Amino acid sequence: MRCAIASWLLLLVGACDASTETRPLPPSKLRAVATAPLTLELQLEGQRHLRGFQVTLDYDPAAVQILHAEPGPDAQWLDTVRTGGPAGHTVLLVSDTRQISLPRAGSIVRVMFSGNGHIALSHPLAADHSGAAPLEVP
Amino acid sequence: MACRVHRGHAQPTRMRRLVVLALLALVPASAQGRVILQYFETDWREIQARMPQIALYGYDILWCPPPTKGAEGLRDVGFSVFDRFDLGDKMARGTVRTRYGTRDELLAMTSAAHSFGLRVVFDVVMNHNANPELIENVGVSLQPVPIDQFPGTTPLDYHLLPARTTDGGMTWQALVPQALGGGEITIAVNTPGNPESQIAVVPIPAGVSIPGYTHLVRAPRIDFSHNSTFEVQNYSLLGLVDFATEQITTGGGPAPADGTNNTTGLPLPRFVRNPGCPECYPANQPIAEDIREFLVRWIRWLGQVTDADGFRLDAIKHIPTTFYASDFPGDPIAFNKAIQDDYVARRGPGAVALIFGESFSGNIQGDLAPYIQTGMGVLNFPLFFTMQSVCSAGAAGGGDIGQLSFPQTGSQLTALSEYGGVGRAYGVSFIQSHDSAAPDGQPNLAYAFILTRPGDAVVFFDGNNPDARNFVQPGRPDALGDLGSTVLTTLVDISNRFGRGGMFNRFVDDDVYVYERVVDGAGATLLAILTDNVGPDPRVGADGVAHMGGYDPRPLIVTAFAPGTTLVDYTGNSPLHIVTVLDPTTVPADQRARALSEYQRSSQFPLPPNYGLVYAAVPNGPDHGYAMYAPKTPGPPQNGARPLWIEQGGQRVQDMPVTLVGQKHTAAGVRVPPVVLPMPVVTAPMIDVRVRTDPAAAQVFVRLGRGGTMLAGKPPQTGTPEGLLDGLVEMERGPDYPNGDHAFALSGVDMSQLGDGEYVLQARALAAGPGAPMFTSFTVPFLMAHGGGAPPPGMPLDSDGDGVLDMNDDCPRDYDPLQEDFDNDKVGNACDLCPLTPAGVAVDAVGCPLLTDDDKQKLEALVQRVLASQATVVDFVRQVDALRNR
Repeated sequence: MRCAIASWLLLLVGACDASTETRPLPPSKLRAVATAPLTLELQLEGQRHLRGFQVTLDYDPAAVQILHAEPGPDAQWLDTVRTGGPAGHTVLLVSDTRQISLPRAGSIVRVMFSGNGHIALSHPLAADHSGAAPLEVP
Repeated sequence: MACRVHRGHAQPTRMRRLVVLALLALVPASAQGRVILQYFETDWREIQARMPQIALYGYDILWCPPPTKGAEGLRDVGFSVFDRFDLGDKMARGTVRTRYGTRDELLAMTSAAHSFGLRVVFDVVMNHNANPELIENVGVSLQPVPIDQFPGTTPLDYHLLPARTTDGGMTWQALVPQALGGGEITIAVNTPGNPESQIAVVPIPAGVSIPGYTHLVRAPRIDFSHNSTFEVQNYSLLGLVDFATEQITTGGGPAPADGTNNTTGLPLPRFVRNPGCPECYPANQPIAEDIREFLVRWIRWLGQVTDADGFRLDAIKHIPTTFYASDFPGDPIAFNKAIQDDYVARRGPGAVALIFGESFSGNIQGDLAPYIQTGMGVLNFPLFFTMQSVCSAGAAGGGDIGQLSFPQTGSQLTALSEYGGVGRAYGVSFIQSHDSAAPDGQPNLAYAFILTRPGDAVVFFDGNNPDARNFVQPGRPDALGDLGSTVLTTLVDISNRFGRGGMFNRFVDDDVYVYERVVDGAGATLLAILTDNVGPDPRVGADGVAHMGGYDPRPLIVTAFAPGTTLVDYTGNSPLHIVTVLDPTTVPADQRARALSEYQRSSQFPLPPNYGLVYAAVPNGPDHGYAMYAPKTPGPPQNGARPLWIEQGGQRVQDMPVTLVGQKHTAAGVRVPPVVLPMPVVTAPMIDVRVRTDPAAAQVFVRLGRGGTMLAGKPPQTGTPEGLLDGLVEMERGPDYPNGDHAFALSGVDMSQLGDGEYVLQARALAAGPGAPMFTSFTVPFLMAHGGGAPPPGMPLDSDGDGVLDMNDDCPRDYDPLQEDFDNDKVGNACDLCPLTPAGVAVDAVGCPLLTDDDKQKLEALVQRVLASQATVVDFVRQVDALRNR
């Protein structure tokens, strides 16, 4: 914390090493964790304040059906958690129309499904206050 | 090791089968399903305050959350158990009260429920204690409870793995049980088996030695897709520390291996677990016991202290069946038998405790039946999964509602499987719960089915408590008629009055399902029509006849109601509100032949005797794709007056408006107005009960509370057909009113023995005529106030305990005694997500400026484009900023 304040003062007087201050943050990461039967939680890890993300849920539609998605325990206020698109490749959109950022880390979304099969994440895309932001699904 | 374990789960021996068969009698085999209100997320005082409504709307059973102290104190829903003997009366985990209140408030709520004739079931957890490495609720400042610090237990009571570390505790090498292959695994943080940032581990207790290992580590989390019974029963469910509850038996008693912990291989410790609480033991005599005996003693104690009528058992499949069942004569590890025996001791011979368990499985024969055989019912997950599929938004009416129509069992009471799920004697049907959301497409349709199918059914209510958590799931906001909706209360009423007898298919295809409830030897009670179609609703076809569904016009249905019977749709959904059953001989031959052909295809049972044919209709969903036809029953007075009232001293008792609960907001931010119920206040020791009905009523019977007591010197009915009038007292018919209304009275009812408080009177008015008895219930909650001084039962609530009543609180669920509100938007800083909104701007429930309808439409259109991969989240955020920042 002390270091950050010192850097901020240096920045004010124009003496800061710009390359240090503008070092890009690493991409946020999104993981799917089974927290209960037939329930996936999408957990975000990172240092950025994202405004939203989208990701594709890939699964075998003959074995799995996506039932419902809702805000996770660490982002209960979210007003935009929606799913749609073709069966087997459901698009999940997560954001908030009141300009409230997501937590930098935490359980953001719960996805309830039926059936018995694997659900994978693909095509992640995120946005922050300035536009597109990196997001990975390791 | 593996052989020993498997022997414990072997098929029942002959002796065990005998005991199991005896236990089956514990499960009620009733054609008349009971309606259970699962009432969570609400403190005991508020539940008590709303008890008059719960009785008024006809719920039979109240299912409440775990009443014991949870590890996360005031925020704990109850499933992360800390102390099973703390009901909100000990200072622990930062609080005396539980999330729901104090022990005294709990007992007062249960007592009030019984006064209203309701039975009370508590959720209980036998499988685990709390997660020792994770606080799950936001805002809880407590540290997790280490494995060795749960009251009354030791680490050797749990399914832990012997472990050692070579890197100072960063990772642990743990011994894998032989049943899972043996050898060792590495337990590390942030891995699927241990997704927390710490590892729950304790030193091996003093005096115990496991060569090569120094510690005991929590077993990995269960891999739900692994499907190993051993893993399910011996590893950690969601990180919750798992009890060693296995019992290894032979036909005649415990096997030599019994009492050995499945994962450590060590004997289960026996010691006095509650030395400071003699009253926690039978006869106040503390004794040494292992963890299984501890749990059995606890459930007896809990029943006795709370006077519960039964329990909902959490996570049953994570415990072997031997724990629940009486496996041999005198078996001390027989959880269900303990519940039942205690209930008989409290209620008398013949009393049947309600016991039903939770097992997330759709496999009736393989997974659920073994637990049913231990003497419990089960939540009807097979039906739940089917309903989720049929009624989901994704199905969009394209599901196959015909899946609900088989196996057909008619009047059979004890079928294990029927009509889309578990049989009526063993299954408790539900479509949503604290764990699971309702089907997002047609939840009303799903409720219509489970409430008219044989067997018990659950309506889930969260008290309309907004709470920033994903667990508990939101409940059904209109379970008690809030928000002006009568959808659920109407279905509960239909269930109570017409959901009787066997069930018989009348017409089945993938869009429409028609069935009837028929009482053996008496006749039909209900004709139910469901459709899952959601498309255009033509209502009336070119032939002028309203069709069933929008796609498949097939208006003629076989019915067991006799020709000439007039049927009314009690849901109000059908465009044909009243229909008359036709004599088949009067129907054109081609139409009759087609109706009979459809019947033969749909039902395995012969045509009902004296059958009729009926034109009926059901509109398309999503909100009202069901109709419920039954004969007209007695109605209230034709002049609109109240049908049931109380008189004292020859004068009608006056009402007092009672505020049962103050204003609330649902989790979705919808305002729920205060609930005010007019309640008569009885002050005299002697009353008269009076009923006025329309001319359809031939007899009226009445009961006080759950009934069974003499009223005005008249004994209650017993042994009546279907038990419909058991416990009720017949009223006397008086002279008719000038407009033809019928009058009934019961004079001289002695109230002197009732204490001050809340009670309920219920009358049943029976129609005359052939066929199964048809009745209407009239219910009046009232206040008993000897001398006129009793306070109203409903009290203004202060849910967050900050000294500001909910109805006035700017953050009713957050402790904010100062009520600070920087932007004066009526949403306090403590819960305002936009605390600097400009003055005068309209805000939503979380204090943020509302969007205009036009802006909402623009954003919705963009959402649809993102979901169709025609736009991205970046576009969405830019659009939000453009609308918000202009």
